[in-house]
Amino acid sequence: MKRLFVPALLLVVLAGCDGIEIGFEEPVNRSTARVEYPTVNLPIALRQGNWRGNEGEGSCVHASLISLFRWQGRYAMADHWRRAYGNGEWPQGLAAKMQREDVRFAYTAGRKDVQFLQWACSTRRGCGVTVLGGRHMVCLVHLDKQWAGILDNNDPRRITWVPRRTFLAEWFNSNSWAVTPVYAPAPPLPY
Amino acid sequence: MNRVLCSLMLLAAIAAACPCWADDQPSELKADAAYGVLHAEERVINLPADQGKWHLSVIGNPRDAKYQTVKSWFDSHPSLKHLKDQTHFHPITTTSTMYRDRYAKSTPKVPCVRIQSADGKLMYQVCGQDIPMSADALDQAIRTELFRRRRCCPSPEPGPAPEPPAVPDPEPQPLDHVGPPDVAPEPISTMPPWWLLIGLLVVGAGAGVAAKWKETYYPAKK
Repeated sequence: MKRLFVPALLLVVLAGCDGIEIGFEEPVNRSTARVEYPTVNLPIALRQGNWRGNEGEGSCVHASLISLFRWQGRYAMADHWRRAYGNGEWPQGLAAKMQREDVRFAYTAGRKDVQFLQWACSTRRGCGVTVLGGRHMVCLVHLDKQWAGILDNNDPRRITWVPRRTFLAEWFNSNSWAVTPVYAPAPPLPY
Repeated sequence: MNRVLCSLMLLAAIAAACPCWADDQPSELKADAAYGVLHAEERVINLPADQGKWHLSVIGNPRDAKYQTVKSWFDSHPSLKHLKDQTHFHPITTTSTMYRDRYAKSTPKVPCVRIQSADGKLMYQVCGQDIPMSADALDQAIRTELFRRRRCCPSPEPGPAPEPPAVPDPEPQPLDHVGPPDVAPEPISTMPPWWLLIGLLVVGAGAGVAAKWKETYYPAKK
């Protein structure tokens, strides 16, 4: 009787289990968060190229700033800045202009403050950064653990990708000036 | 005494001149024609750590009355205004380059109200004729649907549109809110009130005890 009990119990327990199949799902990437490369993915038509100012100087700082204004939705300010300013620039001079224009901004210079760059890119604002020993400013449009994305206003159609350490070495030795307006960055692409 | 006075006046004059030197731009600085950085200190305001802040976009044709109406709700309706203040608010016009080159493919119809998490995930979207007639209804819809995930179907790109007239930038938003908005669906009660449950429990227990009592001490005579 006991011998029959166990199989009978199993039959009772498993009754009604027809059609159930045990399978294994194909491995899929469960991370649905989409990373946009670069983080600051400004459309090409909105990227401001460098121009020569009325004193014959390049206007890379202003060009970088205008691109960032557009990314942060300040189109009127960008247009105004393009008309009103140009030529070479330096941190205090730019700060004075931005204060005069009542622009909300932040900058760092000469302190190798990587956290500033991290903040600017993690909040998707981007920032203007100095390169070439401090002679030129470009937009830092991406910074992660491995790569830095650079939008150069002398070649605004393409993004230049360099290893993070290489970029930081360049920036550290270029007076480490970084500046950005502080407004709402463009919304990410929906997914 | 006179010497002391003269020394103090000289010191005062030097002290007054020092800040002027600090503010003056060095006259020898000159920028390269191809670049443009003159010189490279620090001004860092309180940097907003708003990486987690959500995005609220209202997309539409600036000449469309419905778009203008919906956009105005986020200023006039208290709850929608509260939502706007807690998010990055983006009025996006279909005539802008940013829309044409970046958002047109992911916008099924306009006008469109879209709420995204900080990384872009679509949390709520309502477009075209699905937008309710009143701000109250839109607010209720957002409250109810905010945490549902929806996927957006791409649509063909719209044709070229005339350049819009220059418009001033909107007032910048405050930087105080740094995370997702605290809008949650209004609680909907699906349970009967607690006092009714307890009442039913007491009545049920009493009836059970009484039945058992009667069965034990007053068994039915056969």
